[in-house]
Amino acid sequence: MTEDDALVRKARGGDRNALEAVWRAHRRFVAAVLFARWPRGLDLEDGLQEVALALVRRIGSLEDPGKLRPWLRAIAIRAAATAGRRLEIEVRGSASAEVEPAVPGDARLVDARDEESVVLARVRELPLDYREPLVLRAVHGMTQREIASALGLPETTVETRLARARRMLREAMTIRAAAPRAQETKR
Amino acid sequence: MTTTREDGFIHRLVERESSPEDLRALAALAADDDRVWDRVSAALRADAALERAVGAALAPAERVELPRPRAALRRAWLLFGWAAAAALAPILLFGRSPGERVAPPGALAGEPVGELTRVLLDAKKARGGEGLEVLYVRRLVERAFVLSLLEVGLDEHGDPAVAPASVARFRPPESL
Repeated sequence: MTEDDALVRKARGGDRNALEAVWRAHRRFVAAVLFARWPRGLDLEDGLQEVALALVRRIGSLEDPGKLRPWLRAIAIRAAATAGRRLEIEVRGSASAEVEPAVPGDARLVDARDEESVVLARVRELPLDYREPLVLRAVHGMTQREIASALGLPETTVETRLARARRMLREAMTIRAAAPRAQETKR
Repeated sequence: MTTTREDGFIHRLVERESSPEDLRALAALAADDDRVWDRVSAALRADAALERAVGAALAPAERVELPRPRAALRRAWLLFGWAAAAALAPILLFGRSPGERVAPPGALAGEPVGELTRVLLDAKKARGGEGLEVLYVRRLVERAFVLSLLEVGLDEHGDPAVAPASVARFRPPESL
């Protein structure tokens, strides 16, 4: 039994300190799962609070302490789906209205001051199957094996998805040098 | 979309898991296509930007603590303080109709329907020596129209928690 499993068992038995320790250890993971699905324009903290509340209320129903992350992920997915329905926002594949659309190409990587907001916008455009492992990988400390365990997938599948996701992201971040030059020529 | 050998090499390079064979194979690919190194550079840069961006986007998670059931209860008691004052289990809380005012302690809050037997709490000789001084609970029965019915119970940790009450559980006396 791992240290984490022992903590979950204590939390399940009503130990409030253990429950808080479990939450602190996994809230960043929950945030990543939510982030991969959370409707734009809504506060991510609302989703986190929903999952935190569910953890307090339903930790007793978690049968296998080793399955905490998949269990938390299922709760987070439901919370995101509910939020999406509530606001009638299409989460999957929603395009960014704030960032210039990407043009696949090889020549020049976006050299914007707000590179971070651009990369987030591009990540949101990836299909969910690729977006989620990529976001989880970017969360400090999550290995491919941990991601595979949380998603219930073979490690090789996660590796393949990450490789493809990286390629898609790289291509989406790249703007064909010819495009701006063509615009300048038109002027 | 298929995963190319190049995708795999770049992925392992970003993951810092490249073997010497991977690097030799990548160099061989680059010998035929000089844009391979541009793509490696772009992948490393995108990954670094992603790590920074996700780190910043998820930072609010560190501020979110577990809700305390007692805090939720306090809010309910503030909202329905007049009802919570009768701190005898089970406590029922009412979601009031819009515009309905909170009744001060002792005042009628709904339409009086009847009164149940008084409950004696204490009895002693009156100070004047004549008669008794009694302390009792007067149980008025009122009728009101409310939006919802809530019940204060205990959660799995033994802490008080507010939850919707089942209307079917309550069957008033026929006389009411």
